[in-house]
Amino acid sequence: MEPSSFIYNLFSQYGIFTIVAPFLLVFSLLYGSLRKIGLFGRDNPSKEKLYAIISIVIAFYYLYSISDVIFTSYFISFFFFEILIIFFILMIIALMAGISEPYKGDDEFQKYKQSSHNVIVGLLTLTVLFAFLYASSVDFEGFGAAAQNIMAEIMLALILSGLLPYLIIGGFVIAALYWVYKKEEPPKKKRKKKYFFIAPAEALYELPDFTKSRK
Amino acid sequence: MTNLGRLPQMNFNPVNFNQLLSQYGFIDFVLPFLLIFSLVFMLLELSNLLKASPDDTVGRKLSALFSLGFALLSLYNQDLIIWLLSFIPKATLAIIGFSLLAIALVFTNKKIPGGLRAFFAFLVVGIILWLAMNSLSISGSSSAASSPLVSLLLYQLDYLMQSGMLALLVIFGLIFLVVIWVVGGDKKSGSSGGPILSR
Repeated sequence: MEPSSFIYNLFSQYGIFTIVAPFLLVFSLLYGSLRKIGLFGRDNPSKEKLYAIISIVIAFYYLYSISDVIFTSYFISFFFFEILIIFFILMIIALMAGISEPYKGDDEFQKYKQSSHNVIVGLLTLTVLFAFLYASSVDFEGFGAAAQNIMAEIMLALILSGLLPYLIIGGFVIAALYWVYKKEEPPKKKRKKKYFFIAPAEALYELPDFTKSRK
Repeated sequence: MTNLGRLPQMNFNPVNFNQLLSQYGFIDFVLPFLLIFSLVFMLLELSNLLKASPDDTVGRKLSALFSLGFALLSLYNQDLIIWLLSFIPKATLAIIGFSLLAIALVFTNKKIPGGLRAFFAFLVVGIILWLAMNSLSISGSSSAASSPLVSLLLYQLDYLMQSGMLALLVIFGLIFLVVIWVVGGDKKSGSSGGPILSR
């Protein structure tokens, strides 16, 4: 299916996607951020005008590079798709939370749950990186080309120079040496293996509650 | 008496309805725009990213402008529309499935216990991620699957396999694991370990 409707073609023709939309995006982001952080002081009478001028100028500079605009389009479209995936997961999780009872663990379980929560937060921040990687891999001419070239050069240099096998063997040698010379640690308290399974799931069930409680 | 056979036949089959929607840009513009705009606006309102204070009306308008720009610019990538068309119906099916589960459990008057609840959480994440990956792989020629980066990674994998490095890595890994297992010793305490005669 090739989704190119009359409206899409019309909008493309009049530069809505390449001029108006990126301008709105960058201008509102910059103007809103400048207002929020109050960089030029709270009592300055002409600060709002200054913020507006600075935002407009930077937004027009950004529009000058069409390849960066296209890269942004790829970047934010993939990011939105990830947001939609998270949205669906949270929706079903919230639904399941209503028909199930939470696991009541001890203090150790709460620690595991907190660690799992931290890991989930880390994974959520990775969505931006994934979106960047997607945009880099699709955008052949613009900003992504540079990132691709750097990665391609590193990979090819490793393969063609024959360094890759030495790096792998070196890794094994270092791992073996570390294993032999590492200090003996005192025996740890026995971990409850089922917490590794239940604690991340409980942290996941708590996410919709955190979102709901935001004001 | 009215002759029902002479009444004009209305052709309301789903294919024609979808064509009608597509023709006016509902499927590939209006619906994704509304979805993106509302989700991004909601997230901005939740995070108060562009608001100087919670009651800041200018900040609210800026959030709306940002969402408008975000929605329009992301629609410029036509792959997104294909992903949405593939992903949303199947994900909705998953929601219906889990809702039916909730309805079926009404008869039991009991809630799902902790262990099974954890299993369902991982099941939900797995199903949605699997559906999302499937949606990405069906997209057109400008997708990530046909990018130089992916072909480079495939080339690298091919090199590892052809040169025998992959086999070497697997064998080394296995040997390493066996050595750790043998030399690591028995962690069990008490009289259960060691030779039987010495117990």
